[in-house]
Amino acid sequence: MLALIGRRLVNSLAILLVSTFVVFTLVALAGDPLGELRDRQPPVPDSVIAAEEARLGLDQPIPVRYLTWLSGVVRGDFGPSVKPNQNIGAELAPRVGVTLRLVTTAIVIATILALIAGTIAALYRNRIADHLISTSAFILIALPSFWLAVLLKQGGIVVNRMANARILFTVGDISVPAPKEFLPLMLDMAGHLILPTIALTMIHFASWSRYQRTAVVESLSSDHVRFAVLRGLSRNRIVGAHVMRPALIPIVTVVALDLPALLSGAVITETVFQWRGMGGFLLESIANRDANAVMAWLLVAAVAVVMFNLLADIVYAFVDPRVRYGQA
Amino acid sequence: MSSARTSCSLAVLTLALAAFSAPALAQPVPVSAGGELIIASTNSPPNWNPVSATGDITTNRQQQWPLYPHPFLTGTDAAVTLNSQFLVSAEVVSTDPMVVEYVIRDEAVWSDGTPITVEDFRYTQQVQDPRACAECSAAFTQGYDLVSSIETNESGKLVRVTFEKPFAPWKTLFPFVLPAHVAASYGDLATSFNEGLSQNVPTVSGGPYMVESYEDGVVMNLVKNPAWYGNPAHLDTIRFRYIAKVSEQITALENGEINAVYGGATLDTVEQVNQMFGVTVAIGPTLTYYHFSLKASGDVMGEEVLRQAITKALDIADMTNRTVGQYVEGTVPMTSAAYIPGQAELEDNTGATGVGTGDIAGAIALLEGAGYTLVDGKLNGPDGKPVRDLEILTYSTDPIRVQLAELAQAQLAKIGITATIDAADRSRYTPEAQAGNFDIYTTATALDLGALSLAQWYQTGAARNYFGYSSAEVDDLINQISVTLDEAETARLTNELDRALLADGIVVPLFPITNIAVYSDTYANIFVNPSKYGTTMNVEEWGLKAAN
Repeated sequence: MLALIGRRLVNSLAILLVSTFVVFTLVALAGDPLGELRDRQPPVPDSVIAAEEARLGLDQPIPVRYLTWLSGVVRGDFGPSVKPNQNIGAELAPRVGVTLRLVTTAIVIATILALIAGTIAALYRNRIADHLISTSAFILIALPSFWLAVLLKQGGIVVNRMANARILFTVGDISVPAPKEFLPLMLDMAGHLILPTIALTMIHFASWSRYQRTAVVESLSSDHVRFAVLRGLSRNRIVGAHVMRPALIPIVTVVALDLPALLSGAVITETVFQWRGMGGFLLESIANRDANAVMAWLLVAAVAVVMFNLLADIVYAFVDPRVRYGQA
Repeated sequence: MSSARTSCSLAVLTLALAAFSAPALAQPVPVSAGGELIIASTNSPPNWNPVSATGDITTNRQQQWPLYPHPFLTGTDAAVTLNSQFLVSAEVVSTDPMVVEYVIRDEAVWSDGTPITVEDFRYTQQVQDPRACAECSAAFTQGYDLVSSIETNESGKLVRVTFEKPFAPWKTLFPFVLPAHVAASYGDLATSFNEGLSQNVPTVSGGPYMVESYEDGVVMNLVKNPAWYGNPAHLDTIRFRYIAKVSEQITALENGEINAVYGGATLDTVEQVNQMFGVTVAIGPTLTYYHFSLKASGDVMGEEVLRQAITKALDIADMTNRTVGQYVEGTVPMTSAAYIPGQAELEDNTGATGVGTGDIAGAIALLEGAGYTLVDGKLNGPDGKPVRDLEILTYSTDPIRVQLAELAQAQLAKIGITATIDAADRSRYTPEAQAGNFDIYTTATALDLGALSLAQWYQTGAARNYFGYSSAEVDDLINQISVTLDEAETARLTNELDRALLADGIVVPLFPITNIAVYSDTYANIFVNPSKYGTTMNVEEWGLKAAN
């Protein structure tokens, strides 16, 4: 297992190196980060523009800028930002926490819902429960996440009006000013978390439930399940021990592979709900043509993807004895 | 300027959406003391120095306005008046050499009790004067670099500024007076300006409010400045909540998470607020206006008669009606490139020069008189060859500019000119203009600096003269205006300059950009301010409506 993890890490590092160079070059070529400064009315003095170019290293060729960035990253310095007062590392760190809070909550809820809905749909295949779950899933898959988020916000406003209280919030991850006491603070944070989590959860739950349904259907028709039936085991035991467990392997793979999509989904969700997470940071950095900031985001996202894939490998070993025996 | 809307009738709502095409003087109403207001802003401060190159952006100027003393104020009617809360007087006391005397009120102090004196003016001048501080990253240096001395009296409350040569727009100087004693604690001029005042949240205020706390990218909390020397402020707390998109701001307002939204009016935002109840909406023009500017050099655009025909064929009124006219009632098109509708100095210079009248027959006659011919709907030059396609450079992220380019494309087709549109994003828009890669440039100009705003585009060799335009007459008028201190004479010369530019077929003014203020109707006195400093100019008047 350790050798497997080691090989994966080496491969990931190589991929990271190539991808960072490609992305750095693309962002650097995408436009002038000082475009807004040059367009000011009245014009900003030339000396100020020149000083900014020197500070950002724009007077250097792209390969030199990349190597400077890379050597800085090794030392824990992400380089200067287009926003002079912004320390990229210090800015990104709390945003990672905000995004992880959203994404982790969404993954857990979406996975649980997908497991339940997919299994029920498979167990009651071609019956009303299956039709209801499948139709709902297809509708959710077809919905653009941006639109779903906007609809949820409007729905939240309607709920608040009906309740004559502000239960659901449409911007940010906490109220301004935040409640000072513990319980109101927790309720406030929950009120901010509900709508974006639903938006992020629904779309992934829908596709994952389809995978789960297929996996359970396949598992139901496998020899070991037939043998369990012939042995006279109870329905609950057959489903729990012999159907569900092997059916978990595809869903673990899909969840792990979907992490990049989940992170990009979080970009949209964070934007609509104005969460100060990694998504907003990425969009702002791209808009500013801030190559160093985009690269910092990429590194964090890439590390997250690598970690989740590793986690998936480890989970395989737990849910599928064949993986453990193969390693042994 | 504003109207409260609480009725449930959509018809009434539409009528009640008070939108004015010209700036008008707004009268504050009585408000009660106390309360808090949360107003949205699209950006947190890029830095804390509002006159630095990085910090001098619209949202930052607006957020920091309540923290500094300002010699002059721009009213909602665009009139510039003395800020009598801060100064006793400010006037030109000598014209040769030009000397301006500012007299600061004795009561004017910073929030830490330090008197506001000549030292603050001197520091503010020096950091924006490259002769005194070449390393200071100031956004604007014009005028400050003409100051030869700053003298005072014993109390330090007299500021006597002598200029090497006259600087006509002297009222635009010192929009933010910086605290010299705070700057001194940070080090020398460059260090204090570029680092100290830029990187640190201001702890000292010379305005009605001061910063209580700041959470980067989330909120800035302002509380009353206990040492404020002007008219008492009403609200106890003002919070700037950072929400990047105006549409999300309006949704948050609808949900009661914020109390006010201020920003550019678009069809989308106006339609969105049209669906809301219990809010007051004010829409008004700013001193920034859209215009086309034409290249004045090169194979085709170097021909003055062609430019004149183009400017004659374009229809300003039609473009206004089809864009901003869709959501701002009674919009009045520009008739000048120097003044917006409603300003006292405005003259009908487009009418006088025939620019922007949509006169297709007149444009064709002008061209035919110069040897151009229309063959099968396509314009041929005097040499008989078809005039090449013209390129309209526009800004892809501004839907109005894109729409203007499309309308111009359609209107120019009527005189046989084929135009292609280059919709550039932010990274390419200015570089393409600077490289001269266009024939017609869709852009906007802020008129806060008066004729200086036109000089930056059209004076020979000016920083933004991307057009290859040069006119001895225009240069001469700009030079005259820059040393003319008499306001009536300045207006006369500026209108003459305007007519010269229009006659040369270099600019087609269109209409002012409109701003919108939307706020819960429990509040009052939040106005659309046409200046680039925005709505917080009268922040001390904001408040909760007084009970009847």
